[in-house]
Amino acid sequence: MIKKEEYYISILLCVFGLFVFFWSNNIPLMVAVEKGSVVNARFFPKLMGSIMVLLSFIMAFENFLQQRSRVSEEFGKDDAEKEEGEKWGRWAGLGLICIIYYFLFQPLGFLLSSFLFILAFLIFLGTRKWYALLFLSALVPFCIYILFNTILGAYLPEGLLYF
Amino acid sequence: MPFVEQLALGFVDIFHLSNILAITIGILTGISVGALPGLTATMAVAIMTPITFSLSPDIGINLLLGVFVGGIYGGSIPAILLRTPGTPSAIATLLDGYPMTQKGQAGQALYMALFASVCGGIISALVLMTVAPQLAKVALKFGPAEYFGLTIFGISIISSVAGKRMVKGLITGVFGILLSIVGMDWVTGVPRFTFGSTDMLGGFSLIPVLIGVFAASEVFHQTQHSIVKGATAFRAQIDKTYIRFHEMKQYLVTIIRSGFIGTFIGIVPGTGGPIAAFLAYSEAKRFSKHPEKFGKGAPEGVAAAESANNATTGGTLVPMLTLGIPGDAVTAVLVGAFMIQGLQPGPLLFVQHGRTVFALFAGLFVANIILFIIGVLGLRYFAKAANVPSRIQAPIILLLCFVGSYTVANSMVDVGVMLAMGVVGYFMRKFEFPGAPLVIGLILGPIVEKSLRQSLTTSHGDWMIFLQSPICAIFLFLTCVSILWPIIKQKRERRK
Repeated sequence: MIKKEEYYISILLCVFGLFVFFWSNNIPLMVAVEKGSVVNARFFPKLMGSIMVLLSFIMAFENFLQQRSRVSEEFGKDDAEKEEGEKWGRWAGLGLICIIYYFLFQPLGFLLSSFLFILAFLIFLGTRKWYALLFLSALVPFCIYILFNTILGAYLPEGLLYF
Repeated sequence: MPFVEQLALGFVDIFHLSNILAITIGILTGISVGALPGLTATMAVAIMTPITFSLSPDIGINLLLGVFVGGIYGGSIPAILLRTPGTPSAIATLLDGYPMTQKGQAGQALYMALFASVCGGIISALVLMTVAPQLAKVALKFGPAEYFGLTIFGISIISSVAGKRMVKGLITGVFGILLSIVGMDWVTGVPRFTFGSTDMLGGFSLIPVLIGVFAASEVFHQTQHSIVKGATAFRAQIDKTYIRFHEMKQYLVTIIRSGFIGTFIGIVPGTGGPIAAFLAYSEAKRFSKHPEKFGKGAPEGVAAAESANNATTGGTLVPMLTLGIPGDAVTAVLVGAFMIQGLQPGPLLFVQHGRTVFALFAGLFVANIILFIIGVLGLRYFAKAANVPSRIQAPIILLLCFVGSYTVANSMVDVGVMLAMGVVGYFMRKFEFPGAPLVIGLILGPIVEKSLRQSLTTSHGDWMIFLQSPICAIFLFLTCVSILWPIIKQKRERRK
């Protein structure tokens, strides 16, 4: 089955490979150490960049050689567009929760930020029972905090709860 | 004193309540830490080392042995149940372990992992006891050219784990190697692809990348599909948490072969569990009558990976005990623990503390037996973790991903890498790019490049060095076979 997306991916990978290849020229050379050797600090990135470009062409060519097949008619066009819209909505919600958690992790501290993270995530996934929300949001970060900080000695940020 | 007599004395020393208790506590600790993504067996051993200061040498060392053995096995539990490898050694386990869980065979997958781990550990203990000094001499012959050959062979196994389209596996393998290039150059110290950032001078850590690619991406996938649609993807069946011996018999050859592969790989310093597991997995697939089942829930895949990764426990002790050279990160910590107890690893250890050494051999053997007992008793409870509803599992797993990535170096950069790789892993899965080759490339890339440049420096630019070394030449030949064999096999099948 010919997949349009695979052609776009091949182009993206080709561009990536070319970027790696040409950007490698910015890697400084320690001539005194490497004594003009071909296999220097630039060699491996250039080699991998070249291989990536080659593989992207092979992937596009393989895709071209495969036979066409009928596009699945499981969804009508409207349903497919609605499905796609919902997915981007879920991505946006999940992404926002993760990004906010990332930026609050150290300033607020692990316990507070994780409480808010789990609360937000559970609500986002459809959990509505308030006791389950509060219990899980409080219990899980607390247990992980005790396990890591106290037992394992792997310290997590305390943030506002530094006392 | 004859070898058999020394070994018998070693077993007599082990069978004291204090030693058995130390090993048991060590195994429980190791399993608990190994099962947490982001925490490794190395960390578990490092955490327990200070506790051994006040203990006698035999009790302290047995405690750490238990942690080591339990930690390597513990990583397989979340790998099988949650597609989240607890330790890097368990990456290959999830290739078939998680699909088995999805098919309702979580208990059997866990039992297979346990049984294979114990067998692999016992094989490596037996090898350690019998041929340690001789094998260490072979390992000492590994120079840069030999490492290059070994790691090129390791990269070639990408063809075995690439799935339906090898080109996609190769692309992700190359991507993994490119990720490993970021940071300071091994040889000259110049920055590469850091774009002026000091945070990137250390490059991409393995653990945030593998947590992102396998665990975070799985959570993203679940939130896009099964959770929101209200359907649970599967309900892990835990009726059976064992496999009958007559069913297990068919996998014994795979387990034994993988055990020897893991032991040998463990003996070579600087390799370790992940490489051993992937190599054994690849060989198991090659020898299997049904290679098409690999990657879709083949118990043989779990058996091969787990036998090999636990077999490295004994293998890595070989160079450590006989030559004082740690085989991997865990044994590097163990060297420190030994020295604190007044034991100097190296050739004289066998002469000055022979009884302790043989007690250690016996301890490793007994640790695997105790691991089996604890594992069987705990299996049913481990397997229940897979039945927690996905709506509750997802945020907890993602929270553990954040914590696991953060604790690597107490840096939010690693957390950012984990999230980014989670997104990459999601799209890789969507467009059918396999994740395992990426990790293989990330682990082996630096070793390949370093050994290549060191070899050519040694030989003054003469590429023949790779053929002049018999060990390297053998590995390069095996590499060619590994790459060409699937292609030849495919063409033969098309002709039929």
